[in-house]
Amino acid sequence: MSIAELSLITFYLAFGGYLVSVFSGLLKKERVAEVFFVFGFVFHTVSQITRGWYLGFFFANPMFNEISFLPWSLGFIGLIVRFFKNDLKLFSHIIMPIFFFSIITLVYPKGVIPPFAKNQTFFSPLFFACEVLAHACFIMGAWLAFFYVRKKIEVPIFHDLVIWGFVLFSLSQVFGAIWAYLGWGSPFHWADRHLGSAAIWCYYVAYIHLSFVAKWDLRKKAGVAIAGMVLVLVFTFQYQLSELVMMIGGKNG
Amino acid sequence: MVKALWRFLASVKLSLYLLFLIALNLTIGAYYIKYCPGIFRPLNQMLFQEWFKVFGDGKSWWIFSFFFLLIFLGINTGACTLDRLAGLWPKRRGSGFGQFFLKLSPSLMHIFFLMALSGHALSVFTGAQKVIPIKAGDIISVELGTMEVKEVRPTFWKNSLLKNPLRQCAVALDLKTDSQTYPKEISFLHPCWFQGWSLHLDVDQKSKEQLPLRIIMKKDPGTRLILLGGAFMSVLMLWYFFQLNTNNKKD
Repeated sequence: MSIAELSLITFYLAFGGYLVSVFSGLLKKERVAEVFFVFGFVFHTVSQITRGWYLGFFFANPMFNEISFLPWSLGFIGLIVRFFKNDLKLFSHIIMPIFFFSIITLVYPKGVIPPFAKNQTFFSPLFFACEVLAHACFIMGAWLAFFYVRKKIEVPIFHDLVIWGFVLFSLSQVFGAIWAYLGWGSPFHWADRHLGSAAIWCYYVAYIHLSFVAKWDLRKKAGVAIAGMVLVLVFTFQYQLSELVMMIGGKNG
Repeated sequence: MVKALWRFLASVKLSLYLLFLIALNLTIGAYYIKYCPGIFRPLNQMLFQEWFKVFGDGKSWWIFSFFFLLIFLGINTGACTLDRLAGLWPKRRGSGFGQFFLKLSPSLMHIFFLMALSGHALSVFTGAQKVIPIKAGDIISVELGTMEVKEVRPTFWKNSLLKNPLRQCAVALDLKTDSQTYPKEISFLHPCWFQGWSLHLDVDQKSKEQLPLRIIMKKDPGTRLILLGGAFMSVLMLWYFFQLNTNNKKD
């Protein structure tokens, strides 16, 4: 079995784990849901690590590709929330976005974007890792904010998630700027990708500052967190679509 | 009157409106760039004032609104920071240094943000850039004298699956000024710096040549401010929120 096959099989096993976990959650069997989620997450982790050797040599970037790393990041955040908040009921909410984004990974064409001369620096995987983890924080934050608004969750965990998402996103922009400077001579480019990231950053800077305006209580903040997810998804999946075109076209440079 | 103006400029509410408007403006701009790349992509090779003479038309309205909002945000951030520092400074002896630094951190982050913002302004309106196609043996006249391409050493991935297997390329250069010759080497992601210029190795993706190398020569006084301001702001932010989290748990 090649490493690429191992990566795919372990992802299918992970997906199976998430699927059983979702159905167990719907049947209110939270403990079973949790066990199958952990089963899925372990296999997902193996799948992500082995993606680094997908082409037969080590190349870190495929490990942090948005399509496969986003559901893993959501799972990772889910585990952290579960560990710190110790609330089993929260679990049935957490598993849903992980499962949803795993479906996208499942139906998305398999393979990896090959290396090119200008992504042979550790700033490149660092940028992608931080950016996708930040997206995951924003998405999970928005998802939990939705249940907070509907009064299904009492603790405003979403707020912490959005704040940490913002910190990670800021770090990702610094790593990206260094990478862009070394490779192309400028930390910022007039490109839709860069402007999209700047738009997301400004939006969440505004979110952080809501705490200093009295009339913005947690419920209103939850609304802003939910709207932020739309911005993140629009900009994120727009690039995945371009990537899909690139994969079908077979371009690698 | 002056007090009212200051209160308006140093208001967090104003920051909120400006930030949401900038996010919206950037979203619109991203779509303009995506669908009119012929107009906006040259901004990456030209100073804004030069670009505007050639490409400026009705489609560039969003850049003007963006600049206006950013200038306003810069003034607002400066006023907020001064206001906060004026309130904090007299209390500096009340608590230990650690606690005072924690309180001071948001203001420092704002200062680093302003540093990065002014770096962007310098990059957009000043500096210079040239893109020079190169091959081994070329002798090219440049601002600082002449540049001789002594040697080009490409390396390739040994994998038949890759359509474009270029892995790295080292280029040996001799930079000659009136008085001296300076040997330099550059490769992808490893630029060299010389007399205020940075030289970055690039490859022309659109060319059908076998190894269409080119050098991006940049003189950009804003880069350092952008990178340092962004890095200090982000690291300080990481430390600040970590401290807040720890303090909240203790409480």
